[in-house]
Amino acid sequence: MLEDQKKTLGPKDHQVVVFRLAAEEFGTSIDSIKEIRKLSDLSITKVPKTKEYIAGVVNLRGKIIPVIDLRMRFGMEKSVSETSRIIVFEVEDDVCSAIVDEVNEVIKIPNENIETATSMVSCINKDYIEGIAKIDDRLVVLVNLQLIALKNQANQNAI
Amino acid sequence: MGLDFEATPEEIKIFLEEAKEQIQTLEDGIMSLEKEHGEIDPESLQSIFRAAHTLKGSSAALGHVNMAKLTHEMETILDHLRKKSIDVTPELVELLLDGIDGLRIFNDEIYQGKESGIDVNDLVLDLQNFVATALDITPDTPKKAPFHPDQTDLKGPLFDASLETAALEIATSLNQNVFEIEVRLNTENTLPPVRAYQVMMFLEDIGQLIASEPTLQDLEKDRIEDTLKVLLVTKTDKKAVEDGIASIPDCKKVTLTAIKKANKTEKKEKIISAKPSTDLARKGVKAEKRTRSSETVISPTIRVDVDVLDDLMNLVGELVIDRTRINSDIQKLHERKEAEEALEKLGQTGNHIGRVTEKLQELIMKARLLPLETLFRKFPRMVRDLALKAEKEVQLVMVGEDTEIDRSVIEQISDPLIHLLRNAIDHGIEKPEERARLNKNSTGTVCLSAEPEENYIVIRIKDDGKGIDPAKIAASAVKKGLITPQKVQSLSVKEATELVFMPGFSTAEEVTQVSGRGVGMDIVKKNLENLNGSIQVFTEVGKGTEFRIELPLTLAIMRTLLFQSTDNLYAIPLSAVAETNRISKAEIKYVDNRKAINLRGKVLPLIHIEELFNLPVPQISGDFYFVIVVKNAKGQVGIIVEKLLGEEEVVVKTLSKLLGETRGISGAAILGQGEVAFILDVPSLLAYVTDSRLAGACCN
Repeated sequence: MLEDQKKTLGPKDHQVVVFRLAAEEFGTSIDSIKEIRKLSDLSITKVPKTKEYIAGVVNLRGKIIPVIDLRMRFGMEKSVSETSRIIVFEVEDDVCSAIVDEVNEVIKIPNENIETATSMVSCINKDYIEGIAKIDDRLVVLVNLQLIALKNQANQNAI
Repeated sequence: MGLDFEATPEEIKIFLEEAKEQIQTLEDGIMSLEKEHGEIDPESLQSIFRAAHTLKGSSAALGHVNMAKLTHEMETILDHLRKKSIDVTPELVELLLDGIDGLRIFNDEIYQGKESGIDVNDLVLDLQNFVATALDITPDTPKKAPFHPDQTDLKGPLFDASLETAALEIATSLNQNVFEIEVRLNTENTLPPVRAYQVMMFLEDIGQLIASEPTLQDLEKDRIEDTLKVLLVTKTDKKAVEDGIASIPDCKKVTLTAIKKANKTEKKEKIISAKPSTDLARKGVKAEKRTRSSETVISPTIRVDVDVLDDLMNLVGELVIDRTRINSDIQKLHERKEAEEALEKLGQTGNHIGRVTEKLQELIMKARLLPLETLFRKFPRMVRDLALKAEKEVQLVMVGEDTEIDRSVIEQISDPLIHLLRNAIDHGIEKPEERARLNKNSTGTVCLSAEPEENYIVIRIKDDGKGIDPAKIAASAVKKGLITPQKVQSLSVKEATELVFMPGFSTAEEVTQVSGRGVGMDIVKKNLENLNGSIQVFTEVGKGTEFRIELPLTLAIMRTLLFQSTDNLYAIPLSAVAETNRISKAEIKYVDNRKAINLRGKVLPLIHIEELFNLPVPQISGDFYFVIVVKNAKGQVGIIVEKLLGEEEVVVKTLSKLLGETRGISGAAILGQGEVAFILDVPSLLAYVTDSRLAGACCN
């Protein structure tokens, strides 16, 4: 199941939502993204006995969806601010969401600007990284949110 | 090997549903034949025969040759039974039941889209031989024409009678027409295959091709003479079909013959005797718009996709939330005087929405209900087979099959009920000799009953067998190391009997008997508790055993007790709550450093809800604790909470699997202001409480 999700990027340009966690820029394909909400607009309910990077659940129009704290998921310190956003995305036939520090833009990245990840890029497990995009002098780490979400279900103990 | 049918998934689905019903009718009928030793009223026999007949037609139409073959043979036998030319014997019943099993396997094949590799020919031969042997004794009955068992390609050189029958069955069920179409093509043209292909494509557009000669595959290989014959089921009338074909170039002569049910029998014989009859242009038969027969019973129900129902349920859930929200807004507004009139109106609207949603809720709950019969009807056969194997005489009495319950509950109680019935036969009912010795009727009775009781459905499985001896159960539990001999001493008779529900109690041999299921009584209990149900056992040595199961009417809406603790909202199913209490802090005693109180002479262990979830325990001000006393297999426990919020009916939502494991929480509910409350799963929640803590509750 995990393998299916981890498809290599296609031949064309990629529409990527760029978001920030601490000082790093990340990107994820726009295809599976349903909506982006202000963190302060939603009230998160903590779920007892779940992993600490699970911020809880939110009630999104009658549907209860999990919220992953991406900072904590990637081993950074917990921190929220005025710019914090919740990215809501589809995972197989389920819906999940993730808290990020800021959503900057949606950009098109030509295929040739994407390199495969080397081990030294980020603090993130290499399995979740689809590639590194170079835009001028910026580096955007392309992550697979689906894989990250599915990991909760597949094996809770692995980080 | 894969199975491919020229049918849409929708058609296959309809076929499967109908086939399932017909197989059930067949099985019920055959079982009553056995019970009544063939003395069954002609009308019932007719309905069994019809079920076999219909199944033959529809399976042939679908293209499942084996299924059609098998049903044909069964139909032949039923036909003889109908005409009383052969008698009902145990051997015959066994053969027919084997046939039913075969049909079920074929149905699964179609469902799964792959062949099971079952060889039907042996069974078909057995059935044929049986008829042959039986008829030799009563030779004055005419033999029925064979079904061409060698004919494996249903799209063969002529439209076999079975295909016509099949086409008619389909047409009747869809309220459509059947046409035999013959098209002569202009062979001077160089493209007859192309034209023929066009004709086929056109026909496929307006209806369903049952068979054709040549077949589409032949056409693709350019194999065609000058004539194309097609058996078509369509809702289009004769004229339109004719015109449509005529508009395709090079079709010289088009002959359409409508086939009707009335002359089916006659035609069938004609074709079988006349073999490859090419005279398909039947004279003077006018196309009748509707071919209907009195056999068609149009059911007053419609099939509704479960997804649609689920969506409706969600919508209603939101309405319920809105209602609560409006009400609470009104409450707030009430504190200001000026908007009096507007308030009044708002109040009325609120009331109205309240009434509407209540009705909606009730209706949709009803739409999800199914009679228990859908589950119960497979039991008579199962009990018969089990009794035979155990060499026991058992009669199954079923009461209240029309009791309705949520469909998701039905799906999940099947295995537990099977297990309990099995136990009743294997361990409850004695062998006939033994029963005779005990002055009991040599035939044991197992009674399966269902009845509604308030918000619950109560299912009882009662046998008049040897009962459960608590002393033996206790001894066995000690032997298996499930309980210490000392503890056993202190158990009441009821508690000793309930040891059968302990994990690990079922012995190894019992596990192999329910091979593949891996069900023990502990699993039965757990499954029922997962449905917010419960099970109790009542037994008397020598007299029998009764299992009493309580199940909620629906899983979608639950009556709960809401409470709050450390900023979190929780809902606890009312079914798990024994009582709520306000307990003075001064009354609390400490046993092994843990809180407990003396409640009406019994020690009740107390635990903070936060402890159950490994959260920091809050400081609760005041002199009292609010305590919710919950029932548990091992006894009662008091859960200390910060604030009780009262009873509320909530719409249950499942939690996403993406959260990982959430033990102790079975789902969530959205409350009036959009807040999320977690629904507690009491059994798994209390599984955290160490045995030593609960033991106090049990043995005191």
